[in-house]
Amino acid sequence: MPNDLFPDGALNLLEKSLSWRSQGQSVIASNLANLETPDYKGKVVDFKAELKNHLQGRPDFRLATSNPRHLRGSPVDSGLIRESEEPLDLDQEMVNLSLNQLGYQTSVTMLVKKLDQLKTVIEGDRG
Amino acid sequence: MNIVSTMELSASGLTAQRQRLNVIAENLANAQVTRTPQGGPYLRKNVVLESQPFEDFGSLMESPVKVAVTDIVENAEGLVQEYDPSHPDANEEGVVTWPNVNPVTEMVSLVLASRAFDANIAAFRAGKAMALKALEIGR
Repeated sequence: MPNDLFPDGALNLLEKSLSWRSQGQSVIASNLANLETPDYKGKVVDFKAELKNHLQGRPDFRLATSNPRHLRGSPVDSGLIRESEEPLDLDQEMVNLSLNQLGYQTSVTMLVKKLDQLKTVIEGDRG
Repeated sequence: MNIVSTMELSASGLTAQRQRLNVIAENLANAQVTRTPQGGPYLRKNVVLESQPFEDFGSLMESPVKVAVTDIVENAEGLVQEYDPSHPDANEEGVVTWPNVNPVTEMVSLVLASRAFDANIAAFRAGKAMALKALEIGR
């Protein structure tokens, strides 16, 4: 979706980032809840890989449209969650939890700043 | 999957670990019991943890899963036999059968369950902090 307010796509990217981070949070919560479940395979959300794919403009997964009257639907977060090759480790998960939370808060702060800029432009020097 | 359902996922972990703690406490309390309603010594109990899909059709995709205690099993292996003819529960040969509860094993499980409980609380708090932070958008 083109964003005319901020042509650099920052709002879009930050929104995506928040969505990845909250997916990451549920994956980490799932790993921690199943820490002692036999045969449970750890899962990961590779934030770096997702960001790279997004910046390189890899197209989103969408429904195929073989007829012009088909609806495309919203993009699916397919392939976002992967099974981890390494065994589950409590300490590693706690580190990931902190990093993920920090990343989420950073994105929210950046988003607030961007919206503040917009507000400044609208209000001019009235304030 | 939103943050609120993530918190419910952490809650499933808390419930499962608390049930595990209950079973460990039961084992420790009955470590010296030679008489039970069903007869014989107390048998050590253990929980069976199983991951369950959290969302509809969740098992078809790599989506996060919650955890649940599906069964509590009794284990009759490793019952301790001791010769003590003066004990009222000794058999004809004077041998008493004690429960197969090893306090050291139970204490280790206790610490593990307690740590796992803490980890789930940390995940819950992180989710809560994220949800609160998200409220700052557009303030």
